[in-house]
Amino acid sequence: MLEIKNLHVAVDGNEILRGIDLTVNAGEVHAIMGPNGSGKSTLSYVLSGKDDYEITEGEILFKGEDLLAMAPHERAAAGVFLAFQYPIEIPGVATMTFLKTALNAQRRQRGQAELATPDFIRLVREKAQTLHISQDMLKRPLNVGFSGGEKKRNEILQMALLEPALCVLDETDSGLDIDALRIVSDGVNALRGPERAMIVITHYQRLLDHIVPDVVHVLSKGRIVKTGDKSLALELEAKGYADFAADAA
Amino acid sequence: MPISPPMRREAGVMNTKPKIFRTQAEQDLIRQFDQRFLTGNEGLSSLRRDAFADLREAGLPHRRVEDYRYTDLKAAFATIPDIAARPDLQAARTALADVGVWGDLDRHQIVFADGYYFPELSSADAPGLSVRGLAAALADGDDVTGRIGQLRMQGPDAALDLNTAFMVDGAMVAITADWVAGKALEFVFLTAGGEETAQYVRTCIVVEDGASVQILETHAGPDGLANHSNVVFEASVGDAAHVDWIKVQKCGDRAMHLGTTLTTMGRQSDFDHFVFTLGSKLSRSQSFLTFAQEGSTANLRGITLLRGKEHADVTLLVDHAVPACTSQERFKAVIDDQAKGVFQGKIIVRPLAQKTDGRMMTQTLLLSDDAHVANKPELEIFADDVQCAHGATTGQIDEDLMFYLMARGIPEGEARILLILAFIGATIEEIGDAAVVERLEAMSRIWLLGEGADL
Repeated sequence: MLEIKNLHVAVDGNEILRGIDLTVNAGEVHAIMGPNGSGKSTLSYVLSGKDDYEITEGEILFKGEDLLAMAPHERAAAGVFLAFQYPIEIPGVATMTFLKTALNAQRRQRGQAELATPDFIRLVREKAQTLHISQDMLKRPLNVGFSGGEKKRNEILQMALLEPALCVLDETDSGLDIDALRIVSDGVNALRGPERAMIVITHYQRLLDHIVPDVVHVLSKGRIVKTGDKSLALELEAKGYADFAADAA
Repeated sequence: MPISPPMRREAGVMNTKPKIFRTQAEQDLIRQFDQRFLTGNEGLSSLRRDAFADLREAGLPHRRVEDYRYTDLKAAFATIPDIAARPDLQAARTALADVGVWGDLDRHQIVFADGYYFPELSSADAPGLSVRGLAAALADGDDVTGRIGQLRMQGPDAALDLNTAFMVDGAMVAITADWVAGKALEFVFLTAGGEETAQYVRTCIVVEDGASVQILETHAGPDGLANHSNVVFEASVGDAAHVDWIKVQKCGDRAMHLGTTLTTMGRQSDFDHFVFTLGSKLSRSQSFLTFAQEGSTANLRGITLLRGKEHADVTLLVDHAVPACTSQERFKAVIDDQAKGVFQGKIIVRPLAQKTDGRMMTQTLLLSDDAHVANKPELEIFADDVQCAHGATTGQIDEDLMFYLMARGIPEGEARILLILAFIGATIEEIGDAAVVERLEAMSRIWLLGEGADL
């Protein structure tokens, strides 16, 4: 589904990613772990198409297509979803309006009919319920006044509604208490399936107790320095990142 | 030693006036006034002549006149078209059918076409409402001076003076407590003729004690015609009266619009004024409000949408002449291309006006590098136990918000429209009337879709 080949990325002339190679197949969940500044968030932003990142070398294929040639909204319509580490607050845009605009924009781009309002409302209510998102939250402006946990649940709601092929979760566990972590993880696990791939970016092993990955990568100084199965996460937790960082230097 | 007489500069030596350069537009105004009003003897003649004296002397206001510093009428008006003739009924009817601002909103209408009152097209026969055409009253020899020109400002104003000098028609309207609230009263200002003309309309509204009314003021006209319209309302709001006033200025793309609302507030009255500007090559909407009795509240709000080379000016003066009144001004503008927005807001708190609460906020979204806004808030506070504040922000669309929306699949143009609507929507929604809010939001959306081409 996703092939990243020798990806080099610079921001303001500083090279942040220094040759990433990563292949993620449908049905797989990959965890990317690494210390602050290793390039984890940069990778997520490059996948979703944020400006200000200069691709100096390499390519990204998504379902065989050149992802880097697509605009952010085209990537989303093609099935790439980024759950933001810091979901943005948008005053004046009701959460429901935003969800409907996003879903129908994607459907339109894919040549599908737009969803009528009653069908849409039914769909959102059903998905919102499992994530413990109240009707009141849906009426409020997007993320405005939401707690950290509410914002993350709202990200997962969007993911559930938009049904992307590739989910990139950028530190979805940050700012969550144990209960919220479980709700969010259950939401993510419910979306696992043979047609869908996930990249879970995190500092901590604890998220991976809930969302159990098939493959774990360690990112350090812009390179993947080690790849293993889920036991690698435990090893990291025990030993810390320092040993792996030394490998990358 | 003879003492030389002190040097005396004889006034007579200098009294040959320097030859004043008159622009074409100023010459037009003088010619038009002298042809039509100089020798008139109707009840308003002296009012007209007084009002025109300053204009004749000083010409149109320009950038060195502080109140018109950002809206230079001397530079903007190349010529002044002749005063419109009364259009025929059929033309007025057709123009009225074309307006479409309020859709099927339930309302009474007072219709003016090319500046003339059309009772045939108006629906003024409602309980609690009386309407008398100004031109008809003058033709009948009625003395209208007790009503027209009664509300004065603290200083002269050129747009108001122009209207006073040239007013052709208008109406004297009274609304009593018998008026059934729930149905709006709309004043529609149409352009019916195909010629470039000027219209000057003066309307006085007395909202009597305890009355509650929603007033819609609608200005519409065709693109491509450099019409001038100058419309003045004098509104007196009675004790415990409540007025919601929504002005929509959607004149054609070459039109010049000067609109002035003079309001005086009775005791414990409420006045909500909303000005929605999305037309005209040049417009200036003035709202001059005086609190004459205690315990009243005024909310002045508005949205301005500008593109191309449009210029729109909102000028406010709120005079807290008495204690314990509250005023709030909140204006937002969205400005694209090389358009220019102007906001001048002055709050005066007189020495007696203790316990005044006055707040002013303007926010502007600039959509292009060449878009321009001038903000001039002024607070003149002579009392000490008051709360007053003003603020102004200017910014561009937040790129992080844009990215978030696009990352969810919303194309750039649509994302931009969503964010702009969010910016102005909060202010529109403060109107509270769902049907009115829906119409204004729909008009905003259509305006933004027109914008879509270059977004």
